Amino acid sequence: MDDLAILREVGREFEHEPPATLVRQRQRLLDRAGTGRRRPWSLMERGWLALVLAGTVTAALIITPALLLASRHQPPDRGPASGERPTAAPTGPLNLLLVGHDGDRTSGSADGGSPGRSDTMMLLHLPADRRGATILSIPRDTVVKATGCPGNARPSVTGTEVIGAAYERGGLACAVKSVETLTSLRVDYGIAVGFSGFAGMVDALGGVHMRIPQPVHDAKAHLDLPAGQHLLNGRQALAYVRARSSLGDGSDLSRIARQQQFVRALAARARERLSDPRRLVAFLKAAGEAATVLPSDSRGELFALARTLMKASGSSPRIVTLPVRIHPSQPNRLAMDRAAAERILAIFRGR
Amino acid sequence: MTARSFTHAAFTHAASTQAPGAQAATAQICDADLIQESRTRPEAFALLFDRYADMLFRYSSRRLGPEVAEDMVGETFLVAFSRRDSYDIAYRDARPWLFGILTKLISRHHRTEAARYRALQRSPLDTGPADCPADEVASGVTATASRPALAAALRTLAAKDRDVLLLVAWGDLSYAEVARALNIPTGTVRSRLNRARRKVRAALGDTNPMHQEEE
Repeated sequence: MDDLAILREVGREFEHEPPATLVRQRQRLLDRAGTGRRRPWSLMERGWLALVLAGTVTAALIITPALLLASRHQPPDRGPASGERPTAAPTGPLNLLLVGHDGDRTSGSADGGSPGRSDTMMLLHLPADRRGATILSIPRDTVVKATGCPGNARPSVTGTEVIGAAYERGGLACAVKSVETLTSLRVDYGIAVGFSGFAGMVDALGGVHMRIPQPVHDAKAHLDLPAGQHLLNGRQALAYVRARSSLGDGSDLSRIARQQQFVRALAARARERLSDPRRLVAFLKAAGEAATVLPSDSRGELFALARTLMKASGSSPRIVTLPVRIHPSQPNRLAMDRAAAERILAIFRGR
Repeated sequence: MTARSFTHAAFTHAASTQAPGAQAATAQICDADLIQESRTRPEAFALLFDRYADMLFRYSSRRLGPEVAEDMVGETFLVAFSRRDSYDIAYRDARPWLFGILTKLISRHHRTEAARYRALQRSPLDTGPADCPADEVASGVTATASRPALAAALRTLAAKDRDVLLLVAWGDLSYAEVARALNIPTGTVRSRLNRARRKVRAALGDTNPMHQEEE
């Protein structure tokens, strides 16, 4: 008998079966995977993390003003008369697509040339009882089958495109259609908000208070601030939260932390300032100019919807990111992880 | 384009059928893809654990015994996880990588390993039910009889030679895979394996010259 064969045979005698307690080691791994990273982020890792996470945070930047806008808005010609019957709020479960883009505030309309590039896409699900919304952030580099879009149906060479390109190609309608194609969900409303309009909203609030931990000198962003407490105007605030290279450790993590800090500052400022009627009017004007909605005649419905949301005062929304993996054939892009995504998308199909 | 979309379809299909417990479907996604994905979604690394933890446990239990083996498996995956960025995804099979990490961790427990072989060398043949001798009729008889001699040989082998020998015999790695696991040239794998086998054969009392220069 061959020595290796004997060795294998004896090896089997030495062997023990894995115990059930081995699952503890799995949990140990998951604990590490979920939290304490003890090594610096690699460049590639930062890149991918940014792709996946930045969407969520920017999404929060958009939904705050979008909901504030919708909740407080009264059509100007109707005046403050509260006895008048408002447009009925839509009922039943709803899916709303929110798009944040870098176009200027006037080009959001369908006929205003390029609508700008979409920086963020997120899908908001409201259950029929309006308690507990779910926000699904869709990474802009997720590959989707290119759909024919009304008006500007430029067929792509490969038949696919990143979902972020849909807005640029055909505006909000095209973005909605692409999201429907990707997720097989029905999207009831679309809202697009431009960053410049967003800056206008900050200005309408009279700026936001932020504490800046270290001096910022970013020539690219035209930002030059000493460390300390600041009242940032819209342009400064936007530059600060979007800046990358000259701040922190240059990682997207520090950028995301800044954005979250900013969202909190904005929310606090909005609560404080919007009780002033003049501020409210200015804010709504800025927000109204910033936002495009789809269907285009649905503004009244959305405002009514937002009012019911304010009244419902449910729990804070659950924010999730669409599960993605690196695209198998286009390594700088992402592909939806269908199995994992399905569990989340089920929420959006629910009541 | 057709080729690309086909790849994509195959890939997402594999992913979509990857329900919990669907081992066959998971196997369609290669280790390198999992590791690459874990750079974006760290929790994906747990799938690699599901795939190889049992195998690594069995291997360590042979060398160190069941008590230490469990911890070895956990440590191996923690080290692997922290090094997943430097994994060369050109290698689709992650087994050599994991065995390489495990081997290094085992080397820190050389006393435990030596004590285990010493114990196995002395202990009576208590494995397997004694009232069922038919099972041992074939090759098992030779092997079981050889156990004390083999345990003694393993204990006295040079650590580097033992690593190579056991990765081949118990880890089922090819020479090239052992080379990758231990980060040594394939020629070195051969020479260490030959040296180790010579000693094992000597311990087993086999002086067959035909085995002298195998490979």
